[in-house]
Amino acid sequence: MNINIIVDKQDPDITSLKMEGDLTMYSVHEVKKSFLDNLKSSSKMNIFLSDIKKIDTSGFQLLLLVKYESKERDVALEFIDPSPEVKHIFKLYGESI
Amino acid sequence: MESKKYNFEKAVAAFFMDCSEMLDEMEQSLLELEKDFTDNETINALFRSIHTIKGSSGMFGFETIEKFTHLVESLLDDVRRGVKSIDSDLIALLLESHDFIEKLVKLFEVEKDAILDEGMIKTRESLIQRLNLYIQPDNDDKSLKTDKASIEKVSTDNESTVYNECWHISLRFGEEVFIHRLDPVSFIEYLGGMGDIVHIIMIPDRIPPMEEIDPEKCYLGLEIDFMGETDKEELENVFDFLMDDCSICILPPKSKISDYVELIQDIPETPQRIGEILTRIGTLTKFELEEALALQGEQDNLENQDLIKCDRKKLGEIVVEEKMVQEPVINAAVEKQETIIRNRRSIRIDPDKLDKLINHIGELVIIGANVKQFSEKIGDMELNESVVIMSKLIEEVRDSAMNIRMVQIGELFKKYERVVRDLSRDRGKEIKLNISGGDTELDKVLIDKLGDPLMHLVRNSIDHGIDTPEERTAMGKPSKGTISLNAYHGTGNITIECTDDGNGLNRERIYQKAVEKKLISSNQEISDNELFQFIFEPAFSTAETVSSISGRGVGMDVVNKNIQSIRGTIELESKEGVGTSFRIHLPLTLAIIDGFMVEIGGARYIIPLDMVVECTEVSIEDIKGNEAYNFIDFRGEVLPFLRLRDFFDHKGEESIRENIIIVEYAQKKVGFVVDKLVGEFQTVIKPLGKLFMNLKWTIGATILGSGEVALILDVPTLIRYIQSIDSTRIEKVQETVNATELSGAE
Repeated sequence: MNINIIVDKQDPDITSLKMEGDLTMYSVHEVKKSFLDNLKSSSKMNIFLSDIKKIDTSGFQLLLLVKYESKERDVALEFIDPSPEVKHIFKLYGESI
Repeated sequence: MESKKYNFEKAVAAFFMDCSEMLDEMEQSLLELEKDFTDNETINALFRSIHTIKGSSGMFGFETIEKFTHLVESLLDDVRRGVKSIDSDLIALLLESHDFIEKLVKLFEVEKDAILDEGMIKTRESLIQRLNLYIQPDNDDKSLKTDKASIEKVSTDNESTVYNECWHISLRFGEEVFIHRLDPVSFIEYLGGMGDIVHIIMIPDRIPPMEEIDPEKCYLGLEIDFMGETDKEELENVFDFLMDDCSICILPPKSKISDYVELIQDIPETPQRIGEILTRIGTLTKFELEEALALQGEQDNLENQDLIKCDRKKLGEIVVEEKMVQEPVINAAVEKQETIIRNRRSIRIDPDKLDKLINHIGELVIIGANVKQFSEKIGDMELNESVVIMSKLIEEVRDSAMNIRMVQIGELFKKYERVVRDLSRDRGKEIKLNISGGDTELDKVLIDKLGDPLMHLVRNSIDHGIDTPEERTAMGKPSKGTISLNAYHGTGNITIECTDDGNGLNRERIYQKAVEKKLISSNQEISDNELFQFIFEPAFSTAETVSSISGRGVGMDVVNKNIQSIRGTIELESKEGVGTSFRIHLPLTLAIIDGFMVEIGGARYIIPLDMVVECTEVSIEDIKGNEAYNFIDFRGEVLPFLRLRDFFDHKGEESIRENIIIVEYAQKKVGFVVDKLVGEFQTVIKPLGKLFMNLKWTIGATILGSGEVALILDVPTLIRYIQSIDSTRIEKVQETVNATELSGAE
């Protein structure tokens, strides 16, 4: 796999996800699973995006979805320190992070 | 300039080819739908095929085709969206429309500026009327007219244009985009390079919840306002690769509000939602949006929902017209056709090119054999090894080249579904068509030539073979008759069967007819099978006897001739009251075959390897006693044989032990007695010159590595000859064999 997700649960309710590698077509399944599991079990999620080296539209779609989904599930979500690649794709699609 | 014209002509030719494919698909889909009215996939396929015909005929300026298909398309659009449901009447109407479109296409293919004759205009009028009934079922003629008037009014009133100076691009990506390794990012970035993306809005509405999403699929859409010096053509080119995976709508700056109405209607999201998006992005002002929504609402409120579609139709036409004005569209059409071809994962090749390739490979095979011979002479180990590998490669190249020409016969079989359906309805019969072995592959040329004879057989079965449901029930058969088409490979041949469970041939009548024609004497004993072969005799069935022998045999001699022209044979089996079965055997021989080389009196002959079953040594004594009969006892089986040395009148020295090669074709086995077996040989069939046209027993010649010529034996003809020598002899010999076996057993 070309992505590494480090899950850190200091507080049972707060999850920190640190993502390292490529958030692309080839890794979205894994990332989705991790997002879904943690959305269910947390009231706050911090997703660290500083080490995303590569992101494509499927990865972007997933980030967009986790944003919407967290609102619906009442989970406080924060994207922390997005890498230039992540910033670029959000800007390209006219979305704010 | 010239090359452009050439290009255009090529494109038109491709268009017609495409059209006929699409029409085939359309017919196929309709027949499928008839079995299951609700099959959505087929409905979509149906829509796609008519949509393609409409689109491309418009682009090439065949207005007559376009206008008619347009009507069919809008009807199918209703079906696709579930507004209309399919029933058998509708399918019948659509099939008729299909036939009409086919006629139109054929007409324009011959002459680009053809004018419809009166009959066709009549057909068109009546079809249009019937189609309209479906599209507007609640309206009588009067309201139809007023509706039309109001549409015109709407569109003329609708001159007001949108203030915006930007191009508006709507993209809804298909789910497969990612899977096809396309990333929209690159397209947007490219677009950004062409001008200024003023606004871009992501439409995430279609993304399913996290629980359900397949993250490898794309659910996104984009609304883009773009400013730049460009034209529609260029913008479309940007998204060319996405075309198949994406719905794209491009509106030029200052489009009519009605165009935006259309956009709003075409986009999957609700009008309000999309309206919001458009204002947010700045394409429309709030006022303009209100106007558009009001216009749309107005149409919605007119109880007749179809009005919107009519209006949309108009707009659609405008778009097409607008496209037609732009010159480079022709090239776009060519490209589009290329994508269509690409989608089917096949390419079209000029048959001449293929023939050339196969010719070259033929030469390669010959020279390869030559090299092999020399290398064997030289006896250099390493050289020999390389030559063996090369020969193997040549063989593989040969096989794959020959394979290019192969087409599955299923395509042909499917064409008869329509015939069975239409004819059986027409005759008040219930008939089912069973197809098996559709994946059997056959040379394209053979498939083309099989079309007519098979059609004849199928029609005969429907017309005369199978009775009406009442008659069938009375005979204790299921009321629904069956016609089966089957294809399979046999030894050295392909067999195609056409079987029905109908009435069978009337032995009595054929017998009388045969006597009448002096084909047999009035008290001659003859087996059913032999008797039935007479129906292939030319002029066996004249008009008056047709009716008296229930029409069987009409044009059968033509069928027979057609089959013979591709070196095939046809036979039939029939049982009165049970059914009739026609079997067509076609030789597998192509331009290059695997042959088996034998030697007779110093001369070499090739027998197609496919037909060789086994070979064994025989001593002259074994044959001698039976020479008069030309039969040997081959492990208890009566086997007719031919001593080729005598047959071809070879004078050379006789060897003490000879070999017999057992060949089989069309389930008939015979033996050829030859001097010597040489072995397998890759054979390129070269036709013999005009001088040798009358040589019956060969299908051509081949050039050996040494430069010598070897004749290739025409096994089917030889088998037929041997059988015709005297078929009663077989029975006699069979009896003696049985008798000896019996006595042996005692």
